[in-house]
Amino acid sequence: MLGAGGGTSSYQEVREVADVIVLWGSNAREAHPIWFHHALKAVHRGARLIVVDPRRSASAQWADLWLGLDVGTDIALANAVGREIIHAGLANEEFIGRATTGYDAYRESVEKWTLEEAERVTGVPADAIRELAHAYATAEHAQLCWTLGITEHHNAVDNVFALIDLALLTGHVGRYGSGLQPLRGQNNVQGGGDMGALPNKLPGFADVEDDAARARYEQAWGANIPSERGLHLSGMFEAMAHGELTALYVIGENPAQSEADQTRATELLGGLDHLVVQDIFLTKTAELADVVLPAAATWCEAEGTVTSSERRIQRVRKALDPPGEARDDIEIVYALAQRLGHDLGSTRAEDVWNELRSLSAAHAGMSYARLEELGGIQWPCPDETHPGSRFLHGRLWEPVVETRAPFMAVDDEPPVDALDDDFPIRLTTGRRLESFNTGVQSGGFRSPLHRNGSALRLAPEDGARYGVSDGGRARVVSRRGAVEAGVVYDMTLRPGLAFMNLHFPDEVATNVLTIDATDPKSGTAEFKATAIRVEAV
Amino acid sequence: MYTRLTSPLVRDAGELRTASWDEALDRAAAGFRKALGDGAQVGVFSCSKATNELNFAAQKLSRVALGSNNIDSCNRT
Repeated sequence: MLGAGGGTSSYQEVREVADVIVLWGSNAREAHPIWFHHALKAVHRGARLIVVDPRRSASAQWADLWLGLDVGTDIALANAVGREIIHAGLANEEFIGRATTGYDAYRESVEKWTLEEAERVTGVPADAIRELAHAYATAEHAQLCWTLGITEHHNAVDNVFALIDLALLTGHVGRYGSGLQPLRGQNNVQGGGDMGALPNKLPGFADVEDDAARARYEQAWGANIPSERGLHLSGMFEAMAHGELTALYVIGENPAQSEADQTRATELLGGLDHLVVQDIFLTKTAELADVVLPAAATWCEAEGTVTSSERRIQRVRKALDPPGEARDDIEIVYALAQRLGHDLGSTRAEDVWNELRSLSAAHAGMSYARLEELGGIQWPCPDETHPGSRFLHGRLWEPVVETRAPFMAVDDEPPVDALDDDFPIRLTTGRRLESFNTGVQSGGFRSPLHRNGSALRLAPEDGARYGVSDGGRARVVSRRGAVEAGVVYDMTLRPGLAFMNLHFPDEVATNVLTIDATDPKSGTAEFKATAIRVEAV
Repeated sequence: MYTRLTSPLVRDAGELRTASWDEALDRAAAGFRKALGDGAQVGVFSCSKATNELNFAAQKLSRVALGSNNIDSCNRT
């Protein structure tokens, strides 16, 4: 929407400048603890933290204001915030007129979202919605931050548009202190995409379907690159289901346990003609493989760089050799390419990085020496005299804006997995502070922090209603499957809302329950909204 | 509890057994060659825990050696 796939602002702006920080669909206290330290420093100096989350999460407990919306009603809430800003005369008309397009259509589209209507749809009191709207719009500097609560929905992209619209409405983007931050959930989610590990993007943000851009890479690599975008992860699973995609190379991922509708995902992976898995552990995905390649733990057994949520590239240094016959990942990838008849070049990390710099203008100025010297650099950094960029889209504040940012009018659309008499409870999933994804790396140590880790969390009222006791066990049933789990009553949940995580899939396979309905544009599945019922066992 | 992989593995008669790097890489390459020869699609899932350099390498393998843009990682969120 703004033209760059990265957060627009820096942690420093959160920590030192923003008056208002809105955390929408994110439990950063547990899932992004480093970022949350910056937010806590902001709270300490007097900034207002506002949290939008169905659960009264650990993050919400630090907030001045918590809006506990019903799962999947984010657009209704955002549009009501937008309407209230407009009707209260708090829209930044000067910024809208100079830097944006599509405002009239947006204003019309949000007009039906009165505070009362939004209260009816989202469950959030009208007064709280008004307070969010006024706090965000009147802040001198505001940061709007989100994560999977926004993106793990079948209408993920529309959810993001609805939030970006609020920044355009108020001018809270493109200047130091105000911005938009999608918080990244792993150490290098940002960089993986920046490097072109995407079906539609070449390294350094070039569109694979742009003939002129593609020609540059083809010339550099002496190879033809297909001119049409490829399949994203969910699309590849679809192609497996149709028997069109028969061979897969999985590096450091565990889709047999991380995908929504796990039973189906495992069947499809098991049904491939050829599955190659490169990993540091024999994951459940590796157990299905025809060939398993032992890799390095890249945080301590490899040289290289990773990119954080604030677009900062930082060095990773090798402290240890990989154990036994395990090898450096780049060496493995390039050795496989060699056997397929292609010499991809030097496997030395710095050489690979310099090749990337020669292709990506945003990274061109970041030599390893400069990354070392400056303690990391934020892209874009076009040359070796450039200090890097703390924030993006300053162009929106130029007297004449050449490429304006478009408002995107979007409307509320409920989750695909509807509630009914058979499946009356809304299950949402998320992370815990001490655990990581499918638990391959974090499930192997004994810790009191893992206590009740795999439990179904229920509002006490629902426990009483369905006859399952705190500390007991229950059968959890969705339209796709059933699992048995321990039960913990959780006062942060309202009746009708349940919570599970995905960290202990060998004990409780949460993703047997979740739905693989995906956003057609982003390919992200609706992990956040499953309809379940709970039965006593 | 997972323990580190310290040797390549290949599947024989339904079971994974240890193998040399040469055998494992030959088997890995042969499977992709066969799929491409049969006109099937192939795909790569890359890793958001690994370095930028590894992700660059993985997409280069996909596009140059496998001739495919079917590459993704868990960055769709």
